[in-house]
Amino acid sequence: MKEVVLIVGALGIGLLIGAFMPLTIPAAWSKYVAVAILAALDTGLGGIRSGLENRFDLSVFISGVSANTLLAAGLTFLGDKLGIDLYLAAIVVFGVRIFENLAKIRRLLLGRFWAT
Amino acid sequence: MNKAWQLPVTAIALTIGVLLATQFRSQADFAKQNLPSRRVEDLVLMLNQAEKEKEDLGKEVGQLRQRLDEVESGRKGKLTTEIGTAIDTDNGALGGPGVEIVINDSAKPLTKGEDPNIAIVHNDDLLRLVNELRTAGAEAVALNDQRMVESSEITCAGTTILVNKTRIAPPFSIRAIGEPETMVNALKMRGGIVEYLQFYGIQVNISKKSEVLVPAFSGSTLRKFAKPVAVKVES
Repeated sequence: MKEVVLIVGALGIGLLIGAFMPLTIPAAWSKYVAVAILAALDTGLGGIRSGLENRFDLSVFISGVSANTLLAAGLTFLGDKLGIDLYLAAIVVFGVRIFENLAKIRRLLLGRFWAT
Repeated sequence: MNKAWQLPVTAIALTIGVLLATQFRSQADFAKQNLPSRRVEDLVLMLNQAEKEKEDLGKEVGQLRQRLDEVESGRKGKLTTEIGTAIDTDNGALGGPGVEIVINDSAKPLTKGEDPNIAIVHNDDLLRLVNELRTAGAEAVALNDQRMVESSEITCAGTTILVNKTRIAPPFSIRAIGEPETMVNALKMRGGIVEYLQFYGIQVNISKKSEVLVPAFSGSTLRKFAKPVAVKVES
């Protein structure tokens, strides 16, 4: 339970920092930030899931974060240049994975509290 | 092993939080910047409604003006002369000898690389024409049924031209009451406005008329800021 509190607390602190930071994202960049948010959400949930499954590997996690973010940003950039909304591909993939990860986490947590 | 995953995930959670809040704030700013984010169809519908409303109100103004005229002609009392001076009846419909000018965009096909802007009639062309007519002593001028009064504007509004806050589109017809000969000569002057327009292929047709009708001004002549001032003459 403690880890969940830590993560949720970090999310809250992040929201507070973002809310009071004197920085706005220019319109041209908002697409990239949206994809970055999804990538971060995906990796975060993936990390929680692997942690709950006791399969967490720091090198996999860090490489996953960077590779996903770079790929998503690259797709968005390429889409901008080609005139196709290629970033939708990244959004769909991340969206599906977020749901999958959430489902796994839900089952793991349920199993932890009710099984045995 | 079990604790090692918490720190990286916490860091990611922090990042998500910052990104989310910043993005929310930015999106809210965008929404504020371009307030009417309605779709074009909605805006067109609203415009049409507003225009219809304006038309109806314009009709009402016409009826009320007519009633005022009736009252004025019916009773030549002190009150009616007061009303008569307060309301500028010079803006009513007028008739008399004059000219009619019809102007249309160039019919010549554009050659490659030519600026399409030169082939269309602009607001400043009409402004110059009206100015020339007034210089030549026009007593009343109408542009596509829009009476030119002291508050009349001729402005560019995208692909159309606004006169008396009403959109007008080509072909434009300018009707002016005055000495026909003088006005035609002023327009056709060497190096004058008609020569200038015809150089760019714009079609200008001028016809002298023994009877030209200039419609009444349908807008408001109410003055919100300007007030009459008694001029003191120093003796």
